[in-house]
Amino acid sequence: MSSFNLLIEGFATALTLTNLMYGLLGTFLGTLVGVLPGIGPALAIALLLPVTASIDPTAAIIMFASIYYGAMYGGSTTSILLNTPGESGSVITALEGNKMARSGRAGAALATAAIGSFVAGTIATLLLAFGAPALANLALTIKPAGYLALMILAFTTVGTLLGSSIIRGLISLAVGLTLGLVGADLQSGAIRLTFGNPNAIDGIETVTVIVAIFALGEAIYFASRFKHENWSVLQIKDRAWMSKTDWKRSWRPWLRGTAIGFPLGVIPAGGSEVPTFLSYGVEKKLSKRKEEFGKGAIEGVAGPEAANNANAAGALVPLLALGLPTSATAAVVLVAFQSFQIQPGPMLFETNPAIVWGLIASLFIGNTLLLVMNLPFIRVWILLLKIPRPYLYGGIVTLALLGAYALNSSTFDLQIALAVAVLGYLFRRFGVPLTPLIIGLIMGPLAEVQFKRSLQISNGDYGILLEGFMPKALYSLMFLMLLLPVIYKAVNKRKQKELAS
Amino acid sequence: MLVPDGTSVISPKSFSYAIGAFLSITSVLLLADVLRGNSGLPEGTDAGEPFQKADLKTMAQVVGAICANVILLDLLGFIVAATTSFWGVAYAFGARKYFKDLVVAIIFSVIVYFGFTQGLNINLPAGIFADLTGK
Repeated sequence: MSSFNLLIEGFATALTLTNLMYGLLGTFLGTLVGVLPGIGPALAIALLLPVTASIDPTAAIIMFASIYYGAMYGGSTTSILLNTPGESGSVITALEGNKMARSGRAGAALATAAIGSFVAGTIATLLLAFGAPALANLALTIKPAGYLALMILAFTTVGTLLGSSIIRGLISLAVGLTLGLVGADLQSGAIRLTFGNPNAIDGIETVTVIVAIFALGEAIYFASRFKHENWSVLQIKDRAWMSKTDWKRSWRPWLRGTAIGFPLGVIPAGGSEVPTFLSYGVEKKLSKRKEEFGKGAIEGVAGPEAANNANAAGALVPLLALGLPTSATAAVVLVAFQSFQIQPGPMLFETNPAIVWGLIASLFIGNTLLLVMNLPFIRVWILLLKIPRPYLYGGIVTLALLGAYALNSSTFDLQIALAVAVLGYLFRRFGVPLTPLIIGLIMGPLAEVQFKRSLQISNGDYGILLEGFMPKALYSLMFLMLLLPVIYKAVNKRKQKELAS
Repeated sequence: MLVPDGTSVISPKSFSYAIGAFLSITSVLLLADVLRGNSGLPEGTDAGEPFQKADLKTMAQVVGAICANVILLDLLGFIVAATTSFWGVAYAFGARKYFKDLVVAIIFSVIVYFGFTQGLNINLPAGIFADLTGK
């Protein structure tokens, strides 16, 4: 059957009453957590994982995907009306959008963000619907050694592209991989890194780590800067809509943002920071009104917002087709799949077509629902920003602790959460990115499976890890990525010396 | 590492050692980077921006509220633990209407408790309210 027919069938799955209700609930919850400062999409999905254990997998995964999209929309509202962005992809939106809101153009900023997200999301979901099955087909021929190389390359890009320095990204990744080792090894039953604690034999719960890092660590970090933060919500005076000139200035940035965001989501570029920054740079360069940038240029909201959403859809391509998450949120969606014993990857399209196509169809539906939720009803969401900050953080911390506990009803998980929370604070304080840790923790055990499969095929001969074209090409690419910045720096230094002498 | 006897050719050791080596190498490199004076700044801080000292008092209060939740959960049950952590964190972030804050914290905890135990069938320790909640 062609992708098109399968997609139609997916719509049939997504449009059943139950699934539609879960999709609606997901878009609602997603917008809610997106708007609330301090909760991002990764945290929201992690918190809801224990809750969904008893519902149908298709419905649950449709809900998670809707949360994933919804949080992107909600995040832009917060960054425009509040001077602190909710998540890293919204930093740029905060930059221009908040300036627009300050000069009384909040309505236009919110509208271009929402409509841009819709346009980008729809185009990108179409690309996802046709790109992911094609990629999955290709991926069926990849051998375990090739997979391992692909994962190691993804580790490297996520580790090196994020944060203030390469070494900090890599240390975050290493800590994540180490945490992933804890507990009994699935194949051999060997007990690793438990230090004699019987509670640790089942390993460290991913949800606990995510909740601790993103909610508790964030709360501690916010506390450390408490005296210096100011917190003011801007009002919207006009309707959330755009004038004719706004449309004219927005549509090209939307399309360009989509073109930048989608491919950067497919390759492991580690989330939405890079594409939003790139899109902003492009819009600034192409604009005839360069002087407006930094003071509230609508192009600077339209482009990055579209890039952010297209990026989120793009990240689903490697997630569904290869089982390879490229951002923290995608990694949590992978955990959601795993909690239903479903392993995303090339086989997914054959073994669980109803779930995948239902998921993709629900993304189209969710995207439309979100546009409706975010334009006419924007004032309702803004009320959420008026929750007093002490209560907001009190609630987030308490719910996070509940989420860490509820999965296994174990106090051991809470102790782990406390330790990881302190680690999360230290990472933030010293500029160490958090995403590589999450990716390492979730992907480490999967990489080990591929590693062992390769060695099983070769009877223990390590040579197989480099056999064939794919591993060789991918490892070469990886070394280039690691070495280029070093060489670039050295050349620059020499040039400066020459100039000086 | 406890490795059971009779494992096949593929030992669970090699992958762990590779990660151990990776962690050690990155640690040494990070140490070198820090010793060279690049101690790392929070994201979003520009170089040269005056660094603000951590607000240790607020931090201690937040960590204290989290610890209180962890300790009280098994001793006195979810409602007491959640009320304490909600109120404690709110206090740390500047809430000073003690009575109103306490009422909000209790309402929040009770709603969450019954929402999870009755609505979602997730077990939470009832603690001192065991008789009241019928568990």
